[in-house]
Amino acid sequence: MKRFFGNLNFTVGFILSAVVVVVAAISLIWTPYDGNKMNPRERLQGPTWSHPLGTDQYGRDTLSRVMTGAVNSIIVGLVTVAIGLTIGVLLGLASAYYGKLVDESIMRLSDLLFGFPAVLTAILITSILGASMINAMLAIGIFYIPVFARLTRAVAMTVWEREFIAAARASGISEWSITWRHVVPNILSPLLIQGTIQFAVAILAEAGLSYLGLGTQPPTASWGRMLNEAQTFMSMSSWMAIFPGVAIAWAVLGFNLLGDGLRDTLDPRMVRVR
Amino acid sequence: MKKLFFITLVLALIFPLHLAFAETPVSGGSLVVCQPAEPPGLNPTANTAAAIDRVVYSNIYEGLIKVNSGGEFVPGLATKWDVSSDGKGYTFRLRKGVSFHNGEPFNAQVAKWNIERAMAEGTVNPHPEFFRGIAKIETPDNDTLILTLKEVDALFIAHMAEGDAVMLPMKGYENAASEPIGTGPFKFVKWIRGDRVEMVRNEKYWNPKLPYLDKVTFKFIGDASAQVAALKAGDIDVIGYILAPELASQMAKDSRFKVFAGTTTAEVIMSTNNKAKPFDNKLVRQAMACAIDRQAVIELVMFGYGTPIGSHWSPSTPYYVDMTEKFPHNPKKAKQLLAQAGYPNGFEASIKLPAIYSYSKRAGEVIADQLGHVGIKLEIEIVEWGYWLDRIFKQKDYQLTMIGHSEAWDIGIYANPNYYFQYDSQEFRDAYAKALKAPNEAQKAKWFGRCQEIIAEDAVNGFLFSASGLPAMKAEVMNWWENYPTIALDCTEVWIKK
Repeated sequence: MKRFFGNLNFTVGFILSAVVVVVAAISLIWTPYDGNKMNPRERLQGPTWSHPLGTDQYGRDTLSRVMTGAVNSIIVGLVTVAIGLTIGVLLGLASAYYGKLVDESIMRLSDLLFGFPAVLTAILITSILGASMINAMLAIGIFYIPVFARLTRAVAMTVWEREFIAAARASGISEWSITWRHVVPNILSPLLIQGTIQFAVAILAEAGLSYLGLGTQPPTASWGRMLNEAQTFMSMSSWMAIFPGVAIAWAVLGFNLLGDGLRDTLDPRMVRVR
Repeated sequence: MKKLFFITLVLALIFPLHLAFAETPVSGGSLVVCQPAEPPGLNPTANTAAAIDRVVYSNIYEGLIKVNSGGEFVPGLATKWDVSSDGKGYTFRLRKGVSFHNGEPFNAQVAKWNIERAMAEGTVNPHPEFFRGIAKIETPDNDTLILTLKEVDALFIAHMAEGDAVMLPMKGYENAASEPIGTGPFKFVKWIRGDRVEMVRNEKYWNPKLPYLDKVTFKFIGDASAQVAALKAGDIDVIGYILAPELASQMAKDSRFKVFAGTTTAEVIMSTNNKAKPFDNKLVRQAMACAIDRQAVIELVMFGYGTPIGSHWSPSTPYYVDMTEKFPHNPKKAKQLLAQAGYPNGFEASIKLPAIYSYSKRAGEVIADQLGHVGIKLEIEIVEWGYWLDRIFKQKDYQLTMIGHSEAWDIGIYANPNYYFQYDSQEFRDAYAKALKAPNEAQKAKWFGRCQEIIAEDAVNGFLFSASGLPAMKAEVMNWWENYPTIALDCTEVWIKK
């Protein structure tokens, strides 16, 4: 533990992300108001005691919406990383183990997917499948598959070359159980680091898609959508844009720093390089 | 004191102040007009999209009759028209010496050809029914066109003034959708897809005094804030109609710009598929009508720039009857009606909102909230415009949607059971037929009123509001239409103050 908290990146990142997670957890049980309830008489307010972050154009409480928006962002982060991690790791392991044609085809497919910019791919996928939060998650998740596949392949290949693997082979353990008992545990830390960073990227990508109207559909609160809706009200009530914007920056910074901190502490080689 | 008053009065009589302020238009200059939607083509006789009419109506193309800024039917290519005593014969005197932009002359033969083309079997005209009541077309000479109708048609003149009835040249008509050739005050120059349509002054226009402008460019900017930013930066001179009403109130405060909160013919409605469950039940539709608070909708969606409606008829159109009290906002009654209909706990349904129109997305969210209070849970899905036209408008694959119907005199769509509302009522069809055949004003008022009442009573759709056009422009743009009595952004008489 001391090793982790001695690292500034990790400490700041941990605190920022913990706030996001705690706020999201609280919002599941309690928010100051119903974030979807419209109240024409109280619309476009700045921060007041009754509405600490103000209200939007329908008089909905911004604090409540930012809080439920955090749940939305975390779900997106978890699901997309889960999709990318599960499929990517399996493909990466297969690639590293079988080599030759299997490796070639998986890696060339990854290159193909990598050829398109991430958000552009996501826009393409959501416009084919239709705009919804699930499709947005699917789009981001699909883009994550080659990220994890490549990483897994690279580290798994070095692990396969290690002496303890040769020892395990010599003792007659099946290849299958070598993979699960010796290879996978040894590639966990780079995957964890990558996963945390992709989590932050997913939050940003979902905000971007929702801003374009391709992600979360109304009335569900999403930080990206809130920014989009605030656009035409900028000169009347800039608060509407500021708070969801701060929320996005906060969460993305938090998970990025957390990822950096994890890398510094778990991957000593990287520290030496720096 | 008395003396002072007297002197003032004399001075006022001597100096006609109003004349000093009435400005004479000056010629010259170019104007950039912005509208949100790019038209799918530039031929209003082949496609019903309002974006087409906004670019070409009275600018490039003209019909026999035009609608002016006051909503009156005024001479276009016909200088006058007489109606026979039985109400079936129309004699049009055509304007002499008019030629199309490509040099082809306009005469009675051309007019006849255009009308025959519109009513022909397999026509591309979106409204052939406007013309199919014509029994006989005669052209006794080059400047006279006599149309004889099968039956009296109260809307015949109104229909002849629509974009569907503009005149195309007999030779140069084939490329009308991409290179329009008309008789209007402006000649088409080029259309840069995705960006703008350019047109220049027609030097041979039949009215030698018009137009005042040398050049007009229609620029397509879909985003509300981008439009306003472009106007403030001076890239455009006019926003045809502001998309985000909250921006209108800010623009109006700025002395460099002016905004008109005029009327339009557009009715914003929650279109309802009358054949989809549970909306095939009249009680359900009436319950929804009671659950809607129109004033709140106008306030939240339009920032107050709109007039509530209770039927499919804009308050700016003649024979309007106020039906907003038929189902006033009453959530309690809405719940009772739902219970009567067999849904005491409400139900779930989906509403599809076209992404292109922010008023529609907003109204959808507000309505979803209001219906939620009586137990009707709406799932919102935002769809692309192409999807909307194809899946909702053509294939009728929807439960609820939200859209503005911008045409005037369009209540006839309720007489068509295959229209996307899928509303089928013999009672309405009879009333509409009687309205069309009404021999006098009193009968017209009676039957058009009855039409409005029947669809209000049946709560065919959620009737919400008639929107303001909210054109915004630089202060030096003069003569822009304050109200939009027809679908047009007519630049004929617009001029720029130097």
